Amino acid sequence: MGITAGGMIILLALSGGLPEVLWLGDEGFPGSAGAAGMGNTVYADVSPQAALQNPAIASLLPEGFTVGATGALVLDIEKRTRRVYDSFGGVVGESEHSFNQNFHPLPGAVSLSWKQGNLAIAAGWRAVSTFGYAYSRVMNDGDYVKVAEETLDVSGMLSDFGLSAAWTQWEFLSIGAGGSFVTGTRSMDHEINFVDPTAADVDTEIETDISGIVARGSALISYGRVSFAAGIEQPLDWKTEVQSVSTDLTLPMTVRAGIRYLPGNRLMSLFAADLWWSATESVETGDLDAAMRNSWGFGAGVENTLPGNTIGRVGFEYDSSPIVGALDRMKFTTGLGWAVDDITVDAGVSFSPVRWDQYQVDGLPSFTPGDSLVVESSRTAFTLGIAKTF
Amino acid sequence: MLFSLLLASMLAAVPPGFDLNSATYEELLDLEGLVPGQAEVLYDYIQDTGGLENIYEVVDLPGFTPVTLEWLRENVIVLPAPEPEISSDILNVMERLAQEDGPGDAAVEYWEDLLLRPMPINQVSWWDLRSLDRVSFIDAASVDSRLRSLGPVSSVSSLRSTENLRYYGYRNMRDYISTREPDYSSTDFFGSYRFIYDDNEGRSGIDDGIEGHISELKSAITDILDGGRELSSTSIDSLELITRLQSEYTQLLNARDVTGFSHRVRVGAGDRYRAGTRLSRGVNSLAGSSLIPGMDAPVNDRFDVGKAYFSFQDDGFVRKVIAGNYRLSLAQGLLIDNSDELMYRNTYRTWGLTPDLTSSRQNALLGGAAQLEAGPVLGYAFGSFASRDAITNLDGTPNVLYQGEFRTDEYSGVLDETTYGGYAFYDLGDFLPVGSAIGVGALGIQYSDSLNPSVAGLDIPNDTYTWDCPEYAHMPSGDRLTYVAGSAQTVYRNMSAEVEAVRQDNGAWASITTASWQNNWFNISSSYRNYALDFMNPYNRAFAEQHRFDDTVFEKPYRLNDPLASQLADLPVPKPEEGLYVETRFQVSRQVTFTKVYLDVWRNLAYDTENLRFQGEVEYRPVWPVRFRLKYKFQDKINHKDIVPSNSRTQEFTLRTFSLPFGGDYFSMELRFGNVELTPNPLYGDDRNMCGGFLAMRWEHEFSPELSVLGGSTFWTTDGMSQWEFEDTGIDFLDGDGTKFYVTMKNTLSDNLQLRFKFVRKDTFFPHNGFYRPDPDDQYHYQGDPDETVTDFGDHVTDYGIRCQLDIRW
Repeated sequence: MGITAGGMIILLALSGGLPEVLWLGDEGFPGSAGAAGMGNTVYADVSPQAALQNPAIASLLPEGFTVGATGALVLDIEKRTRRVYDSFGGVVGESEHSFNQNFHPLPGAVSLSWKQGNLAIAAGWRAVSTFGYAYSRVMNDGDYVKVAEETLDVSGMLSDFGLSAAWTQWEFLSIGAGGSFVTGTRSMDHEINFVDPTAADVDTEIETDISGIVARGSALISYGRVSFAAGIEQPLDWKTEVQSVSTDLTLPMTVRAGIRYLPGNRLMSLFAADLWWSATESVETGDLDAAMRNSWGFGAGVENTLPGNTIGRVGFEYDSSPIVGALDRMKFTTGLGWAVDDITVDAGVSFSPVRWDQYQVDGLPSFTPGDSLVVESSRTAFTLGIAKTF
Repeated sequence: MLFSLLLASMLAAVPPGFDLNSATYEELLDLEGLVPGQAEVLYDYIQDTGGLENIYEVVDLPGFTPVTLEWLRENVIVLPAPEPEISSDILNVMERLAQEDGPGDAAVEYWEDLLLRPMPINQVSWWDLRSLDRVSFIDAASVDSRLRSLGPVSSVSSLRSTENLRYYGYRNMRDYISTREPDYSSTDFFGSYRFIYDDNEGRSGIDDGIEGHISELKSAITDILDGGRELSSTSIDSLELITRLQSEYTQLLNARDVTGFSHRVRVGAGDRYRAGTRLSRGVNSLAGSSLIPGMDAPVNDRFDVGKAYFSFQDDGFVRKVIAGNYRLSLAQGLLIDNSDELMYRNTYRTWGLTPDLTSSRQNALLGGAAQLEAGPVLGYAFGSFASRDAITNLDGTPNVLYQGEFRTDEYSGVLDETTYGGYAFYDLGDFLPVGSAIGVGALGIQYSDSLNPSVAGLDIPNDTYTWDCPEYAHMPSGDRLTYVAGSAQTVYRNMSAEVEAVRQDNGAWASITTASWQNNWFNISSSYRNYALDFMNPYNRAFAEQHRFDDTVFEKPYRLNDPLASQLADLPVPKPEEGLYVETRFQVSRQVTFTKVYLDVWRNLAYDTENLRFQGEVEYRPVWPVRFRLKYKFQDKINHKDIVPSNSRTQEFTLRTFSLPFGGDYFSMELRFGNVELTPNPLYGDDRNMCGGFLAMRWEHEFSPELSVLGGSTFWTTDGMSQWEFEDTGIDFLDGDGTKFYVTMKNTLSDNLQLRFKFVRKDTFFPHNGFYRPDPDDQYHYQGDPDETVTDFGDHVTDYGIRCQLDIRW
């Protein structure tokens, strides 16, 4: 989970108890497209974009200027089913209740790095998260007579402007520090139009401004074919503002570690893995405890240079949910890369299915009668990146 | 001239025998024949690729010219990287073996051990060799006889000419033996770590596994709440029962999202010391119960299997000592056989005493065991103290032993079991043919609480079904079981005979007698077995394809008070039966081989009903890279019923092809069709024929020795007869109609690091038609919403699976 995801959960809790309270927004890709193909191993990624997350890794970037950019397209598929029971209470099967899919772009990141001797600096912008969700339904009474139509539209984006610097003290040790200013707006429009003209319609528009700072520090140890990085990031001074009412957010500290291993073989293989742990149990909005649990995740991937010098990548990522285990996500990723002179082009694909039952999430208002609703969703993301060293 | 002078001056600056592959970055920078940019490029290339294979490779590097090459060729050398101590083919060999028959963890671990450290052939005897898969007792005795009469061999291939050793036996032995001399003074440290992550998203079958049990529990709860069981008129406390069922239901719901993982570490020092540990949790595992009772640590309930061992071998009369978890399978497995294979004992078993790091809790022995050898006497002694699961009565007392996959708090760790015993064999090879021996053994089992197999605790009162299950009625009661055994075996030329008989303390007997004959092209083996109705040894494996509680009331969870008790059907002990099993392998020519043909005729002693099974497989290999296998299976089985026994006839046809079409490619295809014909029964109407089949294809391409990608796809359709197939990493059950594909990448990054990723997508379609019900009380409805009825619908299940495996060796 990204550093701001905890904040987004709080924001979404303000959306009035609708089912989409679970929707965490679309997290961006914090690293390069190459890392996206290797299980999103951002803390082991050597790219200008990743250097904004892991300042010390900037010391592994090439000398001179390097610019990198990443963008993505996302296909979301969501299927809702309901379990069908016979008169004895035995499960017969699952009947499809709804099916939605949408294809949309996801802004990525642009970053620039400069390295000279022992000093490396990186600066850039990335979309931490975008909000884009539309939902509508017909509301019926107990006799299946239409009583209202409900629509929900959520949009917006959070931007992260970051700066990092790394210093190589000895050949085997680099240390780095950096920070980001995060700002953005989330807009929610919620309408309920009743058939009965005497009933008062609902029309709620909420604009939520979000801002905060993230401080980061990390260290990189290189020994032979192995590089190991570990670091910490701490959100500071986060606030949301709705109609001039400001609320403080207490967001969690996150500890991260990553490893790169060059085994040295004819495939010029690279093995990368990263791990994070976040104290999401401490998330608060104002003085209100968000009742979350601590969360963690890991990713691992491998890169091989195939015949013809095309680079093939594959990886796997697992992120635990701060809300409930049923929302834990796994991702299977793969990708290709090409290098022409100083320009590298990388493409990545990740696929992430998740399935949960309505009853598994505490506090969720029942949005179908009974407790049988099952949500199956998948996200397929296509990432494209380019980098050039001058 | 000037150029020669320049070369001569530079030559003086480079130490003789300077190896580029082992040079540091600074040393490369100091080479006068390279400019700094070239040194950096060369150093990165060596780091990335593991080193240059020859000096001419440098011309492909950016910035390198023929002049640089010439200078390097004259001044430095390129030493090849050292040969790996561990073959990267180990995983491939194991997979090919596993793909053929899908063996259990214990067999695969044993193969892996032997591939890494083969048996020193000049130090072992037929006792050791017979533990190898597809190596017959006669093969093992033949090799031992040759070693005793002609002395040690200098190469494995010289065993090829051993009298009475089949080429088939030799072929299956040669990868696991070597002529190396064990070095007991060495303390060379080696080991491996394996991590596996295994996850499935979605439903892995409505009828099987966790979803099936959840559904059955829900049905039972609903039935009790609706008053359908009339518990008020019986001695059963309905409140207590429903509390238990709801507790189990909740535990299973919580287990739905549990992913599987495993950590396994194995280490060794020289040829004498071994140790290992495994901590793992299965997909959908309930775990929760403490791994180490009484230990208050957050991780104590994270695992459902925790095993460890330390072993010591070959010192004086001590052949092997294991402390911790171990597996033991002796003689014909009637007295003691806790091998991990849940398949049947007529197939391969890991004979002897082996450490146990398998994924199964079932019958795991925890304590100490020793294999001792003094002259002609080979002895085994063992002791174990471990907790066991049991089905419990409502008052919490144990009903019967149970080895279910889903271990709720109500059933797990109910009993403590103390097991002890021994087996001594006297080798008669000094006066009779090598391979002749007699043995006696004893086994004692003491439970911390008495078993009380009471029908009243399991049977639904007042239902229409009459409980009739002799297999259950004769399960042992009390807190103690003892067994004594005798065995004998001999080999004469190319014939062998073995017998083992065991007597339980209640007077019941079990016995197996086996006779075999073989030559290079043909072998035949015949076994007679008899397991009395009263005989029940938890350390037994079913002989053929039926467990004790197959085809009993325990396959019908809706007829049990607690549907989870239906897992007793998985108890892998044999049925009370007597039967004759005949198996043969016949190589007709180089192209045609009957790989396995068997006939099994047996009588179910619980009901005195006759059954028959025949299976034959023939392989045709027109050219070396292509094989076709055609298998036919027929089974005629009679199930006891109250009035007239029912009969089922099963037929199955399987066609498989294996080919190596190009270098580095491996293609296989499997086509299967099966059908079951049942006795006409008014309950099923005209629908008394069930059938199913699938087409599976698999292609593996090797990009390089370090990287291969395997892709597979399966299409299936079933009508009442679900199917199963071996994927590359396990068995998969196929139900409904559907398609599946999977991709596996195997990447050997170095001698020390191997990776494997697997991704699976499986789509299954279940049409649900004919849901119109005139009776308003018998409608289908959504869960929790009985007023909303449901008519016909199609169910589309999508499963995703991911499996990652990381192997580190040193």
